[in-house]
Amino acid sequence: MSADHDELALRLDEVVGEVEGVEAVFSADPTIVRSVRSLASGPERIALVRVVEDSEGLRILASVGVSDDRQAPLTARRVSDAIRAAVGGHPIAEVHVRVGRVAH
Amino acid sequence: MTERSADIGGSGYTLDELSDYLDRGMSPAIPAIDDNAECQAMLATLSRVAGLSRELVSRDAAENPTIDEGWLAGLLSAVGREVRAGRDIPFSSSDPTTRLTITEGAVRELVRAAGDSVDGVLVGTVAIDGDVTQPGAEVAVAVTISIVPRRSARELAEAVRERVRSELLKHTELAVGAIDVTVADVHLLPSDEPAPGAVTGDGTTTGPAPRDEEEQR
Repeated sequence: MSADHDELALRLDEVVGEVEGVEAVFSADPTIVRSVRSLASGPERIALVRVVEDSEGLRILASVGVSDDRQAPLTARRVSDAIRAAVGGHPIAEVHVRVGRVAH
Repeated sequence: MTERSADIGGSGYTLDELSDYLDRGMSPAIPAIDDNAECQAMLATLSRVAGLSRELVSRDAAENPTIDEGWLAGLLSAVGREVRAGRDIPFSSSDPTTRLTITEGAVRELVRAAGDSVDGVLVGTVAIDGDVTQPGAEVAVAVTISIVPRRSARELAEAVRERVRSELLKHTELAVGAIDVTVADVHLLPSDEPAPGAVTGDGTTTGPAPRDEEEQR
């Protein structure tokens, strides 16, 4: 990820975490990938949301844990909407919201 | 490496290490565990199993010392396999650039938690059969349970089935067909008076209720 994408991803960590019904934000990348990125970035925080860009636009993956109180599909849609609102006018190729667990 | 010692969710931490982490009150925090959905599912299940199985394990250990170790090891091994993320199960979306999914591991945990919420039941294994990646395709769910027969095995199995169906309807868009509930273990305690229709330790029923294994709706 570029520095801009890192910054956006960190911002999206916060945005996603504040969505109603989201209990946790998980790493979108496997642990080994995060470890390598962590070594490369030093003490800087590594984002949990993944942001990459190709010729079609941004590809964003957010992995979340959701509350049992609300329907998981609805929470996932809220997360997607929040991401799109936070990204603004930047072209988006895909927003993928993955529910990794439903917390009881 | 045994399944029980394999790392969970690619975190680099084994089931035993997660259990130790839980025992320490998850402090100091380990981001590789805290940021990993599969580790969090495993910790939640470990915590729930510890509470639900405490009576079974402690009483069985006192009255039948051979049952707890193998039974618990088998249970935790099954949980370790099932928390793996697995396939992405889609939610519907009208926007082609929006992809909404829930992992197969999250759904299995959902089913397990629903079953465990029935008093006297501890879920052993969860299997989801069918092409979950295809919206609208019918899937079947198979659950094995251990029970303390406070109610008849049939009633417990039916309660598990209802809660599992309710949770799947709430949190997934799967076309859920049959939900098979198999009573795999019965922890009949000597001091317990089995309810009519309860399955005894040798697999027979005590009353007029029909056998409860492989019930299907």
